[in-house]
Formats: sequence, structure tokens, C-alpha cells
Amino acid sequence: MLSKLFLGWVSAAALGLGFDGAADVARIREELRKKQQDAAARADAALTGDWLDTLWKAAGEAKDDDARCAALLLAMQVAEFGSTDACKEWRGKVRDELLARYADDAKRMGDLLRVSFTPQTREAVLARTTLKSVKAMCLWGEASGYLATMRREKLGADAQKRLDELMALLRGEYKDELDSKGRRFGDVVEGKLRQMNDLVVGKLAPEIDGKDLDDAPFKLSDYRGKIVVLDFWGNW
Amino acid sequence: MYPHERSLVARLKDEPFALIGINSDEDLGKLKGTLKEENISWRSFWNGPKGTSGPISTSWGVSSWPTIYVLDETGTIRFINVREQKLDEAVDTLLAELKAKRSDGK
Repeated sequence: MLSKLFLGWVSAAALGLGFDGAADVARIREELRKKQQDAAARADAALTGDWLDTLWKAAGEAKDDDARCAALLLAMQVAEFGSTDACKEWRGKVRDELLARYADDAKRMGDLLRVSFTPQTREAVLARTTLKSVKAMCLWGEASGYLATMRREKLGADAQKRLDELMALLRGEYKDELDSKGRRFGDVVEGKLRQMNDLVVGKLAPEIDGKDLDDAPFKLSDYRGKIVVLDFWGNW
Repeated sequence: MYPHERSLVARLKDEPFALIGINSDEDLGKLKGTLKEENISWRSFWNGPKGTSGPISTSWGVSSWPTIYVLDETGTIRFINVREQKLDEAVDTLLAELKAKRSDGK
């Protein structure tokens, strides 16, 4: 009797502290980070199953959309991380839940596309969202896949045709939509096309007219007559 | 990368050569500390407060850092993404070409 009361008091205290699964989400995020390169963990049905059950429960009990989304997005990450059949099923289940609630929430769809960078997710998002900006993200995700392949090998005819279509859409109908970093897709795609077609050995480098780190204006063409190493760098 | 860039710039300080950066740091103030600490003397364009999403890298289609283009004296792209020893060789080749052209012209 006493122990029952005591347990009741403990769980009430936990609720009183605002328990909503947030601690579980934080713990699993950290555990996943540590196991990211661990192939055995990927195939560990008990581990990934436990993580997913816990996150699903946390999402169900979440006090608001931010908490629910944090749990669901991490669940998606775990489901993509895991290689078991159960994880494969979880991917569909978690994705459907996110889409049912947030298909027209650009930021959350951007987050979903980042943690689940797969054709299945892109197609599901594309089918459900009504937001042009989210559609643009899906199209760019698909195009990026082809661009990455192109760095290693020549694209097949069908892939090249699809890439051309995607680039045409992104620099046409979708040009004013913004990517996750706030750049217009039109600008991103123009830059990529320029890089592929014009920034190649034997062509004249385009002018750069800008300012140096002390805010003094200068131009790339100021250095004509010299051999120039142009170095896109950053201190990170 | 800095030590290599520094030695390249020092070795070629009397040659018709320039290393030009396009810097994609968001925080200029913090960057200036690094310029001093690392003794970075070469000139850079600033890609603006959006960092790697700034206008210069976007219009050049740059999505991985560092990205390197080596231009000859006419501004023509001659080598792309050569690093370390390959970068030195590329620059030396172009400098030799330039000298040969200039002595022909005399």
C-alpha cells in the first residue's frame, strides 16, 4: 500500500517536472550520435526497436508541435540509420505521421528532407504538400543526387534528361522559392549550370566585382597579367 | 591549408603571381583574428554575411570548400581543384609559359 502510494507520488512528481519525453529524445540523440559509424548498431533490432518505441511514445505524449516534431524527426533518423526490416517499416510510419500533420509546414518539411534524403521521402512529400517552396526542395534534392553522381561518372541518357527537366523547373517556375539557406533556387541552379558549362578549363573566368575583408572594392580583372590562384576558403 | 598557401605566396612574392581568396566566413570580426594568428597576407573577396550561401560562391556554383581555380595571365581557367604539390606544379607551369611568351615578344 505504502509502496503503491510512493510510486504514485514519484510519477506525479515526474509529471510535475514537466516530463514529456524530452529527456528521452535528448538521450537517444546522443546515443545515436555515438553509434553513427557503428555497423553492428545498425543491424541491432533490439536497440533500434527500443529507440523507436520510446520516440514514438514521446511523440504521442508531446506537449506541443515542437516537442512532437523533435521526437518524430529523430525517429526518422533512427529508422534511416537502422538496417532491419522493422526500421524499414518505421520509415513509412513515421514519415506518414509527419506528413499528416506538417505537410504544409515548410521548415519542418525541410527538416524531414534533411534527415531522410531518399527518393521515397521526396516522392511522399511531393505528393502531399501544397507548398511551392517545399516542392522546390524536393526537386532540388532529386537534382542534387544526379549532380553528385555526375562528379563520379557520366549520367545515363534518362538521368541526364530528368536532370535537365529538374533544372529547367527550378530556374523557371520555382526560381523565386528559397532553399534551406535562404538562397533563391533560380540563383543556385544558374550557379550550378554555370559551373558545369562555363567554369571549365579553357574558358575565361567570369569577373568578380566585390569588396575585400577591409571593405575596399576590387575586381578579379585587376590581376590580369598575373597568374592567379583563386581560392574559395573559409576558416572552419 | 594555410601553411601551404603561405609558402606558395612567400616563394612567388617576386613573380607575376597572386593568390586571391573568396572568403565565406560569416563573422568578419572573428576572421580578422585568424588573419593575424595565421599570418594570412593575401587578399580576399568577402562572400558576405550569409557565409557559404553568399553571392559569389552561389554564382560560381561552389558547394564544397576549399574550391580552387588556377587562372593564367589572360584570366583563362587552366586548372581546377589542384592541391598541395599539384597546385605548385600548376602555378610553376603557367609562370614558365608566361615567361616564355614574354621573352618571345621581346
